[in-house]
Amino acid sequence: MSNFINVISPLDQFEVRNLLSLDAPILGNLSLSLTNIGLYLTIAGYLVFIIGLLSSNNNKIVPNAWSISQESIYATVHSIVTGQINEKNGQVYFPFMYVLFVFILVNNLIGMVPYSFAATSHFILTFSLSFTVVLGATILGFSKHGLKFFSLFVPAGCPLALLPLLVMIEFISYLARNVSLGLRLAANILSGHMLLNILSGFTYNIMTSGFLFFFLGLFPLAFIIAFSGLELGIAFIQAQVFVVLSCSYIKDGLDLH
Amino acid sequence: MPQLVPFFFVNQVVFAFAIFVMLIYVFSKYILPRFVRLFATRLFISKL
Amino acid sequence: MASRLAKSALSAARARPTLPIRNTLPAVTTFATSTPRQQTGVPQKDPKSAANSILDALPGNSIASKTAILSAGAGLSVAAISNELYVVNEESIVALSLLTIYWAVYTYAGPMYKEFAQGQHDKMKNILNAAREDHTSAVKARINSVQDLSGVIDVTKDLFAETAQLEAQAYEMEQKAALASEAKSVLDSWVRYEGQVKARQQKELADSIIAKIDKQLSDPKILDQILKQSVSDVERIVSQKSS
Repeated sequence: MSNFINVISPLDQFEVRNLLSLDAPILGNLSLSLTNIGLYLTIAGYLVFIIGLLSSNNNKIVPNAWSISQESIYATVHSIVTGQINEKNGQVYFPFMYVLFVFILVNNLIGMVPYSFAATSHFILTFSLSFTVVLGATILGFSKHGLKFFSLFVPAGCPLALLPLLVMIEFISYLARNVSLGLRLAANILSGHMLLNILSGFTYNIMTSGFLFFFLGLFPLAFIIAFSGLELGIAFIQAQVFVVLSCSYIKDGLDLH
Repeated sequence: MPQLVPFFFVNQVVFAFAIFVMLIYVFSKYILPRFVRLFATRLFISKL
Repeated sequence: MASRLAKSALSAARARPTLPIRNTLPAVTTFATSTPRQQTGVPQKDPKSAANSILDALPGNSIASKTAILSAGAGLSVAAISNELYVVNEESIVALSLLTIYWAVYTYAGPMYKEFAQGQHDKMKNILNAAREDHTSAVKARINSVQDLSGVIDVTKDLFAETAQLEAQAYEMEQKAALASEAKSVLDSWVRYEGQVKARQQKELADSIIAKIDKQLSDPKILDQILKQSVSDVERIVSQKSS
């Protein structure tokens, strides 16, 4: 206990720990454990589910303040999906995109609660999401277009001499989508939380080192507050960016440019 | 980096995907159709 | 351990000044937002209203309960910090800043969101109310158009009584006509029978007379007598002519 209080590392808040684990030789020695990230993901899932269920205003046509929030999220994601993918054919992917948006948003916001844990700051989680999306879009393209899917890597109207190079570049950029999509989300959340942690460490040290320094520490405190506001914005923007890019990747798989 | 402990990779991916798939199911079957019905109703009473 | 205790005691002593910061922050902002123009005009009134707004934000009705809440909160926080139930460290500053942001979002974005939500709410409500009024007016117009036919029941009743009466009369007449026609047919049949009887009697009479005459004619005495009679008749006629 005293150990982890005294360790001061900006990455300390992201450590995955076992909260509850089962180490019995059952189910083929499967290590069943509830980690803190699992707990927070479960809380996020419950929160999304409960909010979706409760803030419905009893299916009345006249909305109240709670159901309007859900409706505006719906309208936002719907406009993204219809704007990025096809107006008609893209609607199939709407539930997936809605859940993706809400899931990432709620996880980001849970990370913003003091003393809690940011699940989306974990690269493994975001990479698994992004790899799934891009891999799914690739499979979609293959199943829809067969081997013509490779025409995605050939830019329109390029000279024949440059073709191998351009195909190479396009292929690498296609592979980089996997990484960039997840990396963007996790890096933003991770860096934001780390920045807040480091700045607050500085400010805490300044404020506790003297009476005059306490008032001096109010200036960095203002910065931290500003960064907190920025983080709140980033939590929304990153969820939106993730969904927008997922939609555009699916559109590439569907329409091949 | 404490978040790169490989022991927990499978754990968190399993948690994330289990919850994600459950949410997709529940939303696409129960919650999102309600919005469609609601918006359709509003369209009917206001424009048609 | 001792150094940590000392540190926590120190931080407890320093944590107390942070509480007024949080409390004065709303005061400063309400000062800035609520009366930005009065700030130059009546500057001495604002601190008092700001303090009052903080006091009003606390739960409870009387001054005593508010003071009790304030002192209890301060005492609880001091106790929590001194017993290491709550450790003041870097994370508290993050928590403080995040809570400030949430407070700011609640204070500034909250009313805007509420306005937006109210707008949507009113929009839908107006549509529904307009539809209801349309329906009411349509029903009223229908009622008015139907009101001209309000005497239709009495008319129907009269017509019904009249019809019943006429039907009764018609039935009566029909019965009478049927009776009369039956009587006539009975009488006709009588008349026909009488006629037939009379004709048969006449025929029988004629037949008997013819038979009697035939029988008399076949008798020579009678023929002779007839001849004598006719000769005498002729003689008398001739004598009458000659005379």
